[in-house]
Amino acid sequence: MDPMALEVVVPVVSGLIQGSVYGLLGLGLVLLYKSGKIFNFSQAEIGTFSAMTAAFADQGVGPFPDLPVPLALLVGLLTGLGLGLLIERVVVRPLFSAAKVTVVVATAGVLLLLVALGGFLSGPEPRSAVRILEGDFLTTSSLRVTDTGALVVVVLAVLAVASALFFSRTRTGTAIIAVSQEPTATRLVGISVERTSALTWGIAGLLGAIAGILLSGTVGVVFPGSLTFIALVPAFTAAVLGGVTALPGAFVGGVVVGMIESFAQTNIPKDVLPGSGKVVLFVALLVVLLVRPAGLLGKET
Amino acid sequence: MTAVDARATTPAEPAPAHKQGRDFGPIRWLPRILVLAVVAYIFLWRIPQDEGGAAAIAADACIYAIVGISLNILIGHTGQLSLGHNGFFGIGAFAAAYSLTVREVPFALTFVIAGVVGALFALVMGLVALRITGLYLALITLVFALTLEESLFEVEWLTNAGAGQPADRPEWLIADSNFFYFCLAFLVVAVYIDYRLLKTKTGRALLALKENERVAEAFGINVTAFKLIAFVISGTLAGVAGALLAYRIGLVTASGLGFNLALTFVLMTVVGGLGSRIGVILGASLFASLSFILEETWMHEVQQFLVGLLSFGSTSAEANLTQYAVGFLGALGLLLTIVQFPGGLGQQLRAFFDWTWGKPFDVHALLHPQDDGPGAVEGSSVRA
Amino acid sequence: MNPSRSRGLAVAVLASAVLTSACGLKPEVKDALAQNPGLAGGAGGGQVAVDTDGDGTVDSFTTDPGAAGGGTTDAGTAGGGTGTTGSGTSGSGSTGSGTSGSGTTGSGTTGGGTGTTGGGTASGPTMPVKGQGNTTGIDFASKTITVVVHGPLTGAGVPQESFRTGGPKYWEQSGPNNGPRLLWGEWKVKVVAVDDKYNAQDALRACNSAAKSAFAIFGGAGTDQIQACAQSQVLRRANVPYVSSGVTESGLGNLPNYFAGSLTYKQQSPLVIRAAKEKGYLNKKWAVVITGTPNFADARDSIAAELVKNGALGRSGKFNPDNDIILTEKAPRDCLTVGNQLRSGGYETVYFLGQPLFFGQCVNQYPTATYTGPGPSFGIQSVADLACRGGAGGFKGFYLHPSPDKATAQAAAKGAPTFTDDIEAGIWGGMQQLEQAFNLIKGPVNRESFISSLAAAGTPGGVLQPSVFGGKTRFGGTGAFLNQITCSGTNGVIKTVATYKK
Repeated sequence: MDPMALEVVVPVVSGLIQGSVYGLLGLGLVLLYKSGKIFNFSQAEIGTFSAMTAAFADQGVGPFPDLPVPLALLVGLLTGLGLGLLIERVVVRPLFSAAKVTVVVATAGVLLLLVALGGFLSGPEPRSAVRILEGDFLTTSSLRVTDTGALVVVVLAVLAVASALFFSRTRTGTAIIAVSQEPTATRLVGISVERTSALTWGIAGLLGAIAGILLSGTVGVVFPGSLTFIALVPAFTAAVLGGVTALPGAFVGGVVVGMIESFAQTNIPKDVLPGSGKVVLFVALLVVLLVRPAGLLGKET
Repeated sequence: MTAVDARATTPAEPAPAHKQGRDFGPIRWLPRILVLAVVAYIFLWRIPQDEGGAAAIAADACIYAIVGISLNILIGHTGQLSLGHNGFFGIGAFAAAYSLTVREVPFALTFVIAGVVGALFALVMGLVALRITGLYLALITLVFALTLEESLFEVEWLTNAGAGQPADRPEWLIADSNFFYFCLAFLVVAVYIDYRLLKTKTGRALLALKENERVAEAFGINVTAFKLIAFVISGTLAGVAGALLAYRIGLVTASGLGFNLALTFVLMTVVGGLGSRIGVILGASLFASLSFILEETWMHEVQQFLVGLLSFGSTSAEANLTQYAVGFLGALGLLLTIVQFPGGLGQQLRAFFDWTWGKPFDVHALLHPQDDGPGAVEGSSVRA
Repeated sequence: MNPSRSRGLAVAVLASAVLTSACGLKPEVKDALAQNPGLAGGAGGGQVAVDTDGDGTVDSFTTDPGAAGGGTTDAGTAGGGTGTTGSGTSGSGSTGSGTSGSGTTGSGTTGGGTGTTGGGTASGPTMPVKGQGNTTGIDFASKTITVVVHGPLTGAGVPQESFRTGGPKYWEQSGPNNGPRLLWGEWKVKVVAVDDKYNAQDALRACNSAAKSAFAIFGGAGTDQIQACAQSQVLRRANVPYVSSGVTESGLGNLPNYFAGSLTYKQQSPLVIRAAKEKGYLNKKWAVVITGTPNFADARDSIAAELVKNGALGRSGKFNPDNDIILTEKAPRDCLTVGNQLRSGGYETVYFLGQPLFFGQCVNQYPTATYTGPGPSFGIQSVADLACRGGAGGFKGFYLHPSPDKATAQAAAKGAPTFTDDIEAGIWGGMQQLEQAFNLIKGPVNRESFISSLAAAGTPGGVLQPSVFGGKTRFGGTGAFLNQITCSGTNGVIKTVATYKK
């Protein structure tokens, strides 16, 4: 077997797919940071919860009828949207004037609450996730990329571009930026801060749901806390590495994080340095924050 | 508990109301002494009787409370959000277990080692905190702890990887009741350190740092030094608490020291009430014993009933869902605290504590805890 | 066995020499015994029954799942470990009230394996006696013995409710008329399941706290968890008998209170090779995917040695431990990297030992190989479901396991209610093993006598394979079942295709 394949190609491809998942979650994180200077710790769990309700609808569990896959996916997406709006109304809005770190701690509370609710509803056992695509996109002697894996990369690319356009080209997008920079002035010109905030969180929830459904699709199962466990911290790292102020940053950051992890895991044996992926990532994050705090693609402020 | 309540007499605090309420005759003191006696009886005598049960949980509560005080120094006093306290705690636990079991260091010395190692790691984080602030600092502490968990805590010579590093207690501490008193002694020391810290110039400097670093600097406060001091003291306490945990369980593994623990630490401190020493201790005790309360007491029936209502998609028996009930209540407590009662438990129960300390019972403070009276808990919300 | 010389020790033959495992015992027999105590018990005279063949060893293995082996009586007509195919598990059952009379019993005429005796190590009948030895976990008022089973009821493994239900299914529903199963005629056993959350620290916490309320502890699953409990200072000091499925041998060989009731991973390595030979996948490219923990070092080294010895292939040429062993994290997040490593190495057979959830992911990433390995403790069905649920339809595996598939277990567990899965069957079998161990005891029942009698002997098997400790080892497993895993849709199908002896 070609040694190159093992040491280079495999980490690159695995890293690309894994990194795209981080990027998808990171996109929602960047959106919320860009609009409200908030790190949302519940982002991944919104995804888990949405993937879970999609699975309920797919399998006809509890109050859900046994729906076909597209409708089940819709249920999942609506859950994400609803969660985003609910969190905004119940937790974020009352804390408008509070310190940002307080809001961050509150989102960590939301994370725990969602894990608990998911646990009550679904139980601790892993549940089969909704299977969107069944086939293999690419199979060679040394690599296998499933259709779901390929889909994740495509969806991330499309969403990253779309959201970048949204913020630069649409009225609503620019309004969100305006609110984040000058809430009072924005109010004066007739833009509702409340509505903008709700809109942002709704979109973030939707993005979380998309990430959750796709990621649980690649893993095959979903259980309370699964996405938080798998992807939350790498997604944060991706967002910060790429630059929390730039939406395509999440894309770049995610892919970089995925590849770094995969390279380290493949090439540094566990008995030499356990958790090598995490160590390399920590160092990378530290260096970026110390040297270029705005991230790879972010603007210095 | 006198050390805990010592803040009431702290001259640094404007507390005229306390002084007014001081001149009682013995009749007014009697009910207070009775209440304190009952509390002391329950906590110092009744609970330790339940060997292996409540006594062990009480030891946990003391350990968590030390972590709470440690975390409070950073978040409550200095305004640095650390999401990586499980890292300092864990490294202390491993350092103690390793030095005792592998290096055969005397028992007492393992606490010194745990404290020093915890302080060193915290110092590193403190250096990082000089450059990186606010949310980014929170993130970097989180990733730092996660890296420790997956890397250092899996290094075989130190931790036996998944198998865990044993830490057997010496003979005289085998009984859980003895171990509880042992932990309690550490807690008293931690409270005293925290109390002294706030009373001194350092404490005032830290509070100034928290309000506004630049202003503090302009007033001639050495931001660098005081930030590092706060990190080092906090890391030492967390490391020692980690050592206590190692002996409490008898085995340290990485899996018990994850992100969840970091969140629990932050949660209990915020729910307890940032800046309020007794609030933090209460919050920590509550979180340490929550699963015990929900599983082993009459609360179990209540919890089972509620869980039963919700668990439509689960094939598990309700008993398996207890762990989620703990998270649910913890998270709910946190959100309520942040959104509705930013002062936390410390402020909620303030009227009661003040009463036991000689002040008239302030019903108003109990019903409207958001009205910050004189001497209200400082630092009632986290600031970036 | 000590012939007991209890001077005129008052052991009244309880008129109804109640048989514990009356399972296979018809009521008439009970009545007969009741009317004729002499039939079962030792004669008066205070010379309590002596073990004639008396060794209490497991010389009497039969196909009877229940036979408890062990001693016979001096006088008892039956006894002698003749367990028939009847299902009476232990048929011991001496009782005696310790007041006046004499004698004892021994029984197990028809169904149950053996007679026991009133003899034994100390004096008096076989039953718990207050104040003799450590009888923690025994409630004398209600005549109930509490045992604890720990397993991952929640957590990152594959949490299973069946760890909770398997125990009560044995002690409360597998007795006569689906009622409770009694020890020594009248002692009930209460099983409490505790959650180890699939990590060693929580396991130790749970075991230590169980030490004050339980007589004995049974470890259902999880290497690190079992090792943590077995090595517990608290358990060791309190002499808590701790029986578990075989896992690692690291640090467990010389513990006074620990017993591995089935083959350890290391002991299973030659059997993994044997299965490969018989099923035709030995001469293929092998990868060993194993969690990098010292607890799996013995498994890792032994399988590598066996593979090299038997000429298995590796990525390039012969199997090479340096190239073909992939160490993984303890709690891996995904199997993308490992899956692609397997694929690029072109591996055909994967020896996999690691976290269940991770196994499911890897099988999904790389379903084309044959998966094999030593038995995880119980829980192969859920592991298989997990693998198949992800859509690895063509996946095939051969795993060794302490308990057979559900149907086989059901057939072996005569009189048991229907099992819901293999974990229930496995825990049921473990409880059967515990009962057999209880029935090895002669004389006062306490933690010390439980440990010493089990250490000297073994258990005759039933749902699980027999175990032999014989005073020499604590890894007493003698055999394992080879279970084939395939997928039927999203469900794993487990079928026992062979039974191996060590």
